[in-house]
Amino acid sequence: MKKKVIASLLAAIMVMSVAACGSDGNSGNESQSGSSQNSSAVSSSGSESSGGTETAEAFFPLKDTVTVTMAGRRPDEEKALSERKVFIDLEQETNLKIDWIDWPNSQYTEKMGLAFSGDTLPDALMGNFILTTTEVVQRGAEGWLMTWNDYINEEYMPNFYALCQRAPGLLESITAEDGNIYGLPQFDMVGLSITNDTLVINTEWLKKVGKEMPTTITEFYEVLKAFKEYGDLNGNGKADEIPFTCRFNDGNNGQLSFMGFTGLAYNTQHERICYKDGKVVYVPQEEEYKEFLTYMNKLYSEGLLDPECFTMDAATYNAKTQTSEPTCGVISIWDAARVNAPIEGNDPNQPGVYQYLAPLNGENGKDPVWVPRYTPYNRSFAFVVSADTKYKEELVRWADLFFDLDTSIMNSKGVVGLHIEETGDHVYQVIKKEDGSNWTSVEKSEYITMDDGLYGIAEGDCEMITQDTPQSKNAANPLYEPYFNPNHVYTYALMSEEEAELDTLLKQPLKDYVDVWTTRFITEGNIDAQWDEYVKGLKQLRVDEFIELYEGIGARSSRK
Amino acid sequence: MSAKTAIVTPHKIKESRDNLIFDIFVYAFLTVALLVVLYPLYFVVIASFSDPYMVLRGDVTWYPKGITFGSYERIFRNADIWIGYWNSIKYTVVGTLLNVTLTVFIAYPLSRSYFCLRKAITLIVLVTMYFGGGMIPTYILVNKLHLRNTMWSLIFVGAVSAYNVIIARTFFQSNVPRELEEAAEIDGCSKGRFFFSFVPQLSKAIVAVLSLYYAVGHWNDYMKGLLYIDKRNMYPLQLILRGILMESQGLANDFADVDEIEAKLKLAESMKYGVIIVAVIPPLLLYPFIQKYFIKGVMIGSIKG
Repeated sequence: MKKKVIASLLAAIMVMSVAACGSDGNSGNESQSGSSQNSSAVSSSGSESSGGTETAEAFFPLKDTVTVTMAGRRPDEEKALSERKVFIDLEQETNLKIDWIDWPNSQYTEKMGLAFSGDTLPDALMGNFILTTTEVVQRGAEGWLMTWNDYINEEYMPNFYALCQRAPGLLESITAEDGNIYGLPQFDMVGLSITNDTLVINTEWLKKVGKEMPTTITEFYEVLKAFKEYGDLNGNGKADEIPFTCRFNDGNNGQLSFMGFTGLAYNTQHERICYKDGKVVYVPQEEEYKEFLTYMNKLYSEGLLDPECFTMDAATYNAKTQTSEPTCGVISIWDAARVNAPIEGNDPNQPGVYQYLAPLNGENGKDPVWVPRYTPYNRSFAFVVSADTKYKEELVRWADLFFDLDTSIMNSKGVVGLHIEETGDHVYQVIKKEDGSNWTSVEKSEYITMDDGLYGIAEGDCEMITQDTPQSKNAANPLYEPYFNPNHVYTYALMSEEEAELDTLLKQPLKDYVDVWTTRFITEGNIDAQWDEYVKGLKQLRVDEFIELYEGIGARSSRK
Repeated sequence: MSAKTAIVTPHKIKESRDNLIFDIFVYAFLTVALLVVLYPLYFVVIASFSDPYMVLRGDVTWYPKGITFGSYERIFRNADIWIGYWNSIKYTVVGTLLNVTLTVFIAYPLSRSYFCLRKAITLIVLVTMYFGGGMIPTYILVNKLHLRNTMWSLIFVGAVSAYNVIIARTFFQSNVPRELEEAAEIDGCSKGRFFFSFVPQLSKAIVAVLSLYYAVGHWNDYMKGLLYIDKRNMYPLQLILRGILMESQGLANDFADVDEIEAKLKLAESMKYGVIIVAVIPPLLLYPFIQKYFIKGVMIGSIKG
């Protein structure tokens, strides 16, 4: 009996998929019965509908309910995907029922690993970083994942296809080295910040010690020294002043851009590579890095650098920098607003105690650089489909619904009329809650997917109006943007399976080794004496092979 | 007389001084040990009432600072925690009942010297203490048995612990002696009746001990939930807690909204300690009722004197 039901279901699906394919080559020679009923429902909104080709609007709702299993990744405190309004609504509209498997972040690694090794892979996986680029390539090559190559066209995925037209390079960036596309990305180019970390300086302290804004690292050193020597700058009777703090290797609060005074800084947080004179270099073995270490060692040995900068976790760092009584002179941080906000009498519309510090000039005569923010190109995948699923076409068309521009805007930015309002044609503004505070992601998760689902917004698709103040992130852009040097910026392409294997083998040992030595150099000095030994160790860890590997990957990048 | 007193008195003083030094040493040592054990617990309690950022900055050491009940307010509003709480209670009660029953049922026969398969079965039980099927094979088995995403996956997997079987067997051996059974048999009592009428009376202590071991095991278990449960409304409390605690480590996402991450960090920090307290209350309530059996445990039995 059960088999019969499944069989008839399958038959129905086959009929429908044939109907939906229309003149597509894969099924063109099969019977076309049943297409006549649906074709009258073809809607012309959003995508072109040419000839007998059916659009998604005609495909859904399915005549017979189809149930698929789908794993959804989400941050722990947000609503499970099964409880979000957008999916509940979609289920009614499409008649595609989803049996959700819940993979919260805290359980994600284990559950994902089990699904593959225990052979219980659901029909599809959805969510932010559902698989890393490396995993996608490896699992794809092993045959676990469905390839999308045949589906990314106007017939099956009109919305996603249109997005690829609006965002050149996107399709190439998700194509693996073997030519296959194993998953769909989430993609939003609107309202991005352009910097990661910024430097802010305590201007009240600056006034107290009688110094100007530093512009070179020598002046910077003198300012820090003056902070140190002044003593009780915040006047609380405690010796809790820290001249300069950052959190090492934290992309948004770290040393990565600060290092740019040497004329070289890497934008690849994990690989630590960038281009120099047209070639990929491993920054920690460059002369510039040595220069940076020497300078940091000078700061450290004189007590100007926070000794906890290597060990703090993010929460401790926030607690340390966001205080009602300023205790830090210079902070590497996401924006000035967050460190100013707790200070008594702070007016968000004024520059505040902490103000942005422009990139510093180094001593070697090279132009300083600042690291631009990562872009969503080549980011990890948010939707993959199991190669074994019976419902490929349903899932493909279902996924495409998310790439409709208005749906994308809703899922990425918020529900129009609730979280955002449209002030012009595709111009949006964030609405606050009734009590004047911002909607949090936990509250929004009741309605929309946010980063746990799919969306696609290309540059220029819409505009987000933000109210910038002198303290907000965007206010720092004029200071830092001139120092972005595109000649240094490394852009990724998807790796091949062999490349991914080599990468896994080489990356982490190098990273650990560099971390240990960086800490040692900065805290103990002896840089000149031990530099050769350090570089020798890097060679033993096959750094040259690593550079070569990324040279090859970078050469394939679609955004060179 | 006086000479006698002179001899005795210093002797007395000397002895008590020795004792005193010894006592002082013992008490000093125990006090230090107590403080070392107690302080972290005390810290969790005061930290749960303090301003999370003050805790993070290390300002809170001896007494709560920036007292706030925000932590508990958030916990009591968090539906997940209460769903997890209820699930954990359910799994613990049902699981412990089954565990204890099964353990007693296997341990009692193994304690009878006249049971012919005693040695063979003991060996089989012992082997499981050292060798297991491994995580993935067990997972596949549970999956094939269609136990995944049912409460039975948390209850049937590891329903009998070999270690506890051995404890119970040893207990039955020494506290339900063969002589007693023979005496009952002379009065016409069958082996079955003896087991159901006499043994429970004599084994309250071991049942209490087993219940505690198993109940605490169920309450604290997150691994099985992690492996076998995929539905949000079925998570045991420990999974929810782990989620809250791990949220503070952030997500390795280069594009994530920094404001959001920070808000989450702060929330997680503020809930962390309160959540630990809420989670530890049920086992804490259980201990006083069962502890007496731990103390009495070995002394209880049928043969007195």
